[in-house]
Amino acid sequence: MKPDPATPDLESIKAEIRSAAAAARARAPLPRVDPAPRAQAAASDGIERERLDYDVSELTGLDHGAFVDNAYRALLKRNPDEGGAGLQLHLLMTGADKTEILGNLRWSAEGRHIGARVRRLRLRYVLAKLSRLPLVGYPVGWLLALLKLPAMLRDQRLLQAALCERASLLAMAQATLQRQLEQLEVAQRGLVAQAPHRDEQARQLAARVDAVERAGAELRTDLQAAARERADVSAAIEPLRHYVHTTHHWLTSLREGMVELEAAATREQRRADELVAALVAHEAAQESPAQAHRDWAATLAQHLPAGALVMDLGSGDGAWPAALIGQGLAVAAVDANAVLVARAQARGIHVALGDPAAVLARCADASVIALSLSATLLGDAVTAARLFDEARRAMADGAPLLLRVETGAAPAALVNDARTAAAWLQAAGFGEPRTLAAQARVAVLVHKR
Amino acid sequence: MKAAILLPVLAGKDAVGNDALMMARLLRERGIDTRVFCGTAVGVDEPHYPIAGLAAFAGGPDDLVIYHFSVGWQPALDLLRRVRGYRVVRYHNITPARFFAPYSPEHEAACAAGRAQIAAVAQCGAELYLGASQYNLDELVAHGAPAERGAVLAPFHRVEHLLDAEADLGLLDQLGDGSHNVLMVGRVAPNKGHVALVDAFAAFVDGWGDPARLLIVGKSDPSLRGYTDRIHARVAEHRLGDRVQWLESVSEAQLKAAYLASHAFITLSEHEGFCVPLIEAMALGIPVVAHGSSAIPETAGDGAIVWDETDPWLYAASLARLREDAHCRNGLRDLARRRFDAVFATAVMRERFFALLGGVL
Repeated sequence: MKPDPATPDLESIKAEIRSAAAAARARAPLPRVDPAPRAQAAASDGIERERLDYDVSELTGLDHGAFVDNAYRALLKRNPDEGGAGLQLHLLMTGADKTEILGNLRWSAEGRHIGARVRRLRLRYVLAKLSRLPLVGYPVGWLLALLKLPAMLRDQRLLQAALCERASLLAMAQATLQRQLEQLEVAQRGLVAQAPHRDEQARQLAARVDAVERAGAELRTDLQAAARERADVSAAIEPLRHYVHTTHHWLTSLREGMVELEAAATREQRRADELVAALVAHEAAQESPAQAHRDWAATLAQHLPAGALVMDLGSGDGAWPAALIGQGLAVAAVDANAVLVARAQARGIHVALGDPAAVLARCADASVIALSLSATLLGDAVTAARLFDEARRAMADGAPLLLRVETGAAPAALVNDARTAAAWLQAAGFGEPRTLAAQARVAVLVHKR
Repeated sequence: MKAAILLPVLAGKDAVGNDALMMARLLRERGIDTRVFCGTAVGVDEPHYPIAGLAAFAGGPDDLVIYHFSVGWQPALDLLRRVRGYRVVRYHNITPARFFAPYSPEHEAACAAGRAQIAAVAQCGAELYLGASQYNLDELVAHGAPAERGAVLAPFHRVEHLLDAEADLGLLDQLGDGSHNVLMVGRVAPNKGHVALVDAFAAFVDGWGDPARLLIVGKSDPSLRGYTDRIHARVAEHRLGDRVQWLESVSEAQLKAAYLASHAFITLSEHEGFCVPLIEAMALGIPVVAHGSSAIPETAGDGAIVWDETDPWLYAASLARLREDAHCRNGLRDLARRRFDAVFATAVMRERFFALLGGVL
């Protein structure tokens, strides 16, 4: 089977990882970088904390507040505090030289601790400080002014040229602004002309806005209704869940009750079977049915070919099927009493455990060539009628039916004597009954017409 | 029928407590009157009862008793011999005492006592021995439990709850600063391999560079200060400084944020009976790198990169591969998620739980 391309091949990946691990172990460690949060903090305040070398011209290029801010950030590596910035600005406004401000910061205690190097600052700072001394300061100031005079004259010429250029640029800008003003006036007139049309558009827009607001209100109403329905459903679900749980518990209890009842019924059935079996055994002990069974079996065999199959329903402890087998007949024996069936098995006669009426109901029409019934199966009148009806349906034409009336075996049964049995059989549509008496036991033999 | 869940300590936030409470809930859903009996309870709102009342409640022949065995507890063993119903021994495993020997004589003694009871519990004649993993079940069988009465069921967990939980946005923002976050979740105990974890993370920083952060989520134990100090010393030795961030006693929202903000989950634990954080990471789509000790290979299955060795460079290279190879990372996520859905999803485990108890319910 081809591997799924979307599924990683873990074994080959692990082999590659193993190689990568070996290679990484062999090479030099990478430099550690500060974690991202601190890097971001450094970037956000814009202070170049690593830089400690400047030229004085880099720091004097800005003016006023920007100059003070920049000086603090470069020389003290922080933003200026309110008091410090105010003092430096005051010095500037009272005529202090920028180099004096820079020197004040650089050689303050904080500045010395940071130790930034500012090229060409030291001499200028000393001269600026000297010029502020009483008596000495005045000639020093003149001396500095004389020394700066050529540069000042050059600066003045440069300033003049720059101002001329600036004036020219301002004139051009003024002309441009004038043109733009004229264009704006034209545009304004156009807008005034379009005003009625704009008003119409505004009205349409307002109408649309109203429509949208109405739709929004309806939507809000719908949403509120949906929320209410949801709350109702939630409220309904809770008792439903309780009901389901209650039903589940009830069903569980019911199932447990049914299991107990079935177990009790099984126990009662077993006890009843044992009682019936004890009764049968007691009667057999009082008077053996063996001779009666032999006589009845011989009579039945006269009406059947050798080896014919007799269906025997209500076979009891196997004594009667044994008599039939003794006459060379085959027997399909069925009884519902588990105790009697076990006894039949013990004497070597196979009797199936089951409901005789159900067995007869499963037989095809006219398929039974001989049938033997115990009168104990007849029970009440309805049961007897149904059983005889089923017997007629299942029996072949002319097939014999032998009904055994074992005295005392079923004292409460519908049929417990020969005359009643014969009457019932005739009523069910069978032929002329023949009574087979043997000792105190009776059987009735009929044929299907 | 009545059912009793028995455990020495009931805590709402630990793996054993979650497992016990979930079993109780499922049995109640089946209409079975169920109670939880424990020695002590910590931070639990659900009703629980003292062990003395268990025999009267569920000591009959038709009753069910499930004992969660995770530490030595003689009263439970005595009780298991007295009750007459269906008995289940649920084994979560006990950490070997040797891990605690250098740090805490009390922990060492407690673990030794617990492990000394394994044979007695394994031979108590329970009707079902339920290992949280095959590794746990094998240990019980090796101590005399009948193999034919053994089965494996992963511990019930709150992973689906964690999937639905809201994350702590503040922590999410703090961790989402561009660093490559590597996460370890588990209490700070000597069997969890924190020192080896720091070694592996140092190798990752040395070999593949910053920015990187090791996030250690788990409660430390003051009585194991020696172990915690050793981890801190190893962090300092590697000059990792504030690249290692500790989060103790996190809320559910913080735990969710830690998972969501992490690029990989890593564990070098040397002893686990199951390892719930592993399946939390698998369910939340965090690629996993793990040391294949004890029950970890069984829990991880094919949903993680698992190494038998403890070479820190292997783990570092694994983290680097997951960072750089999107196909590998996404494929591993899919495999892990499929494994969680097929094996560890609560619905799947619930069916297996009832199937295992089918004969008695």
